[in-house]
Amino acid sequence: MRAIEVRNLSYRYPGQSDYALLDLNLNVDEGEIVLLTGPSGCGKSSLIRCINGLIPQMYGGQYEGEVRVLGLNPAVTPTRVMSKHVGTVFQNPDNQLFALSVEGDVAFSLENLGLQRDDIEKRVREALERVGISELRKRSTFELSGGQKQKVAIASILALSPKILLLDEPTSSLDPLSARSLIETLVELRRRDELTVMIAEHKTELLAPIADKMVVMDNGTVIDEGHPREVIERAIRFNYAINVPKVSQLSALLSEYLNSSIYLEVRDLVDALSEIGCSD
Amino acid sequence: MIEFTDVHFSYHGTIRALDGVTFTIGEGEIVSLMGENGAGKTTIIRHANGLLKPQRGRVVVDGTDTKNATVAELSRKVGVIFQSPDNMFFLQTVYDEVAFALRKFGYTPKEVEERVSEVLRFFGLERYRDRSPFTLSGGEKKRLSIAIVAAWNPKYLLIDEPTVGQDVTYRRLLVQLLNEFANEGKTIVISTHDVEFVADLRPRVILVSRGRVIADGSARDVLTDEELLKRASLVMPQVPQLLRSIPKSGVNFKLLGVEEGAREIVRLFSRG
Amino acid sequence: MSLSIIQGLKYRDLGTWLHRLDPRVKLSISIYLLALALLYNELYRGILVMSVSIICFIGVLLSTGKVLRPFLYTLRGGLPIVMLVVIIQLLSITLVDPSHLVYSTVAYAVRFIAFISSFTLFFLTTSPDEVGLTLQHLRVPPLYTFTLVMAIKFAPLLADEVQMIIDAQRSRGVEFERGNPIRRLRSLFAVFIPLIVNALRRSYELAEALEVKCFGANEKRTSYRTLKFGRRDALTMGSATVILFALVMVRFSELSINVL
Ligand SMILES: Nc1ncnc2c1ncn2[C@@H]1O[C@H](COP(=O)(O)OP(=O)(O)OP(=O)(O)O)[C@@H](O)[C@H]1O
Ligand SMILES: Nc1ncnc2c1ncn2[C@@H]1O[C@H](COP(=O)(O)OP(=O)(O)OP(=O)(O)O)[C@@H](O)[C@H]1O
Ligand SMILES: [Mg+2]
Ligand SMILES: [Mg+2]
Repeated sequence: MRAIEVRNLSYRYPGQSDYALLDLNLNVDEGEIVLLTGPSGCGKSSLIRCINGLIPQMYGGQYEGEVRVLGLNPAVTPTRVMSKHVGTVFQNPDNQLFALSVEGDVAFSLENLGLQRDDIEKRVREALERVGISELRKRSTFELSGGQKQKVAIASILALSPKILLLDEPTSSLDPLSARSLIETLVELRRRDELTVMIAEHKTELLAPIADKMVVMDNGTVIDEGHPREVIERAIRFNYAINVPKVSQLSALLSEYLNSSIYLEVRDLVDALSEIGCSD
Repeated sequence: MIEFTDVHFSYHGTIRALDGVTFTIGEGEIVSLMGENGAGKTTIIRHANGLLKPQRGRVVVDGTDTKNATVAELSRKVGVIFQSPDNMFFLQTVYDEVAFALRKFGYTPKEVEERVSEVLRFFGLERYRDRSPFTLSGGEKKRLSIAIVAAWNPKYLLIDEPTVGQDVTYRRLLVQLLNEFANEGKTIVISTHDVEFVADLRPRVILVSRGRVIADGSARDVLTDEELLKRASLVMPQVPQLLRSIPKSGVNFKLLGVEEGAREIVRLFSRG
Repeated sequence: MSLSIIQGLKYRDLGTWLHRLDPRVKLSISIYLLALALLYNELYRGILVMSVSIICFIGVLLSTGKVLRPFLYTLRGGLPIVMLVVIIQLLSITLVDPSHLVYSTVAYAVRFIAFISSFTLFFLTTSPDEVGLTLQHLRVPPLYTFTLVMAIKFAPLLADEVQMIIDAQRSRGVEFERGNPIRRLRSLFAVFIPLIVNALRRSYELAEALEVKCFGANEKRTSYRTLKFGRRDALTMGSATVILFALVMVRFSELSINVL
């Protein structure tokens, strides 16, 4: 089934003459992990706001086209209702934290759903463990480092167990090990709960290997989409303004040895090299 | 020269952030602070222009102890770019944000106008001149925050997480810009988790973990040392990671660049 | 200037016995103290002794909860109002009974300090969420409770915002730390307008955050934390009540005239 369907979406922020999104079309199936990438200012965050309904409900502006999320229309369904099924982690975690303690922040959305106390306690504990910040539980959210704040924001949304997860550059302030473990969590949740994930990221090296689909945006519209390996191949060929994993760049430089194959992961390129004789 | 000598700092006397940090950074150097979330990188940067003062130990910039100078005095020379760009903005337009410090530091109106235009053009923000900084995209905000400080040309430039939200074009521009600055004798300190960016920039790397310096060396040495990286929750950049995993003897894996990595592999092939 | 005054007023869970005490007990003690300060209201009937005792008592209590410093900041913040009380007192007393001018002025000023101190005990050691729960238990309608809790939570947020704007400005050459008072005052004024603009923006962002956190999505909101009234709470409450009674008796008996 379709989790997200976007048809001919165009959007301008109030008072702006430029379109932030222009005639954008996109389909995401249930249980898919989608990597959304593109140059800075191309409209990734705006698209995410259209999917959870903050655009147009909170932002106003000029909105055309149609969006369906789990069969609902986010332009008219109250965002607080949408958010039961669609969890959003904002680009800047500062804007998302407001309970005073870490555990209070994670529990807040669960309290809003009217869950029982035991259930809340269990989910808070699990979510904090998942992102590795159990020891920060009693700390005040104002008194955390940038990465720690981002982890709290992620934990708060994971605790909701949404069907669709929208993540806006969730690893931007995470250290690499934490980023990796977040990716592993996503993969596991997708397998276990059929979670659908849409993740805006510049760090393609992290997401391309595990994504089912990679979408490249530019100037408010989708300019390419497909399997990450194919998209990366075209990104190299046509010089898209996106980050290309170093392994893929290397494979491109070694194309005469590798039969023009492009690899996304270190492991795969090593295997390919050994196969063609680069080993003892 | 920036000198940290046995610097200790706790927030509110309870949350320990720096636990005896010592290093010296000379003129024209590019240094990257790296380490796990909560290691103390931001706390170090906030000490350099006196926003925080050490509770024990000393921070000395160009011979001035930060305890004896105000942030305003230090800031002329020491430009600090915060981790969260939202925390840097307090004016109504992008233009005013960049012009603010220039006016404070005594530029003439004509100089201000020229300098602001120049900087906005360089950072690709000129079309946002009259917009509120808060309506920019995440990456654009970060770029503006760097533009604001670069505008007055401080001798020391400290950037907390410069690559957040940046696409490939701007990352290249940033590498080029920082190198140019260093060539002019300026000192650059960045804090970042982005190992691939550091592999491109190749600065001196100071590894911080739990409020202490655990390593200090060239990017080539530090970023290829698996043991050290693990202690600071980092991973090895892809090129050395790949070279190291090739099951062949005599591979030089202390290479960070894509081109040099490719040459090494070609060399391995030609060796048979 | 590091705005430590504002920093000091932020609630922080320091985990001391005072923080863990049931907020209803703390609220009661705060009310007791206020009542005592109100009751001992006549000159020569212990007004000064009682007020000083209350302040010292709160001071000692708060220092066991590691929050003495913020308490002192609060007092310092209240100083202008105390001055006002002193002035009014001076004016009115002069008309009535000029012979005890100094004594009565001091006495009323100190009593006023005891007033404002009485609730710091509660607010400095009770998280906004607990404040909300306490009110809920007292059957205050949820809308008021929530509004109050949000207001208490918004205060440190604003404090944070002030600190950030000041940091951003001094990192760009605005002098807050040195110079003549007039210039410093001017610098402070420069913070106000951005503060108001940013506070508005912040509240807008909070509204977005509330939406994605499903606030109001369900009729009934549950509460993760509950108040538990334990043995220690009962004990504290008991002794506090006994002491209150004793002091009330003293106040209304002839004893007080002789003792105090
Ligand atoms: N609140 C707003 N008001 C007006 N314009 C906006 C607003 N938010 C974003 N824009 C503009 O809309 C365009 C798309 O912004 P968006 O935030 O969606 O980009 P993005 O792809 O998320 O970029 P980044 O990778 O830098 O976060 C940009 O040109 C931006 O300046
Ligand atoms: N304003 C604050 N109040 C109290 N504690 C703080 C504050 N800011 C940071 N800390 C704490 O101080 C320690 C060091 O934080 P710092 O921000 O320097 O880390 P960092 O290395 O920059 O981390 P990150 O990579 O996540 O940005 C952490 O334990 C953090 O929780
Ligand atoms: Mg964005
Ligand atoms: Mg930091």
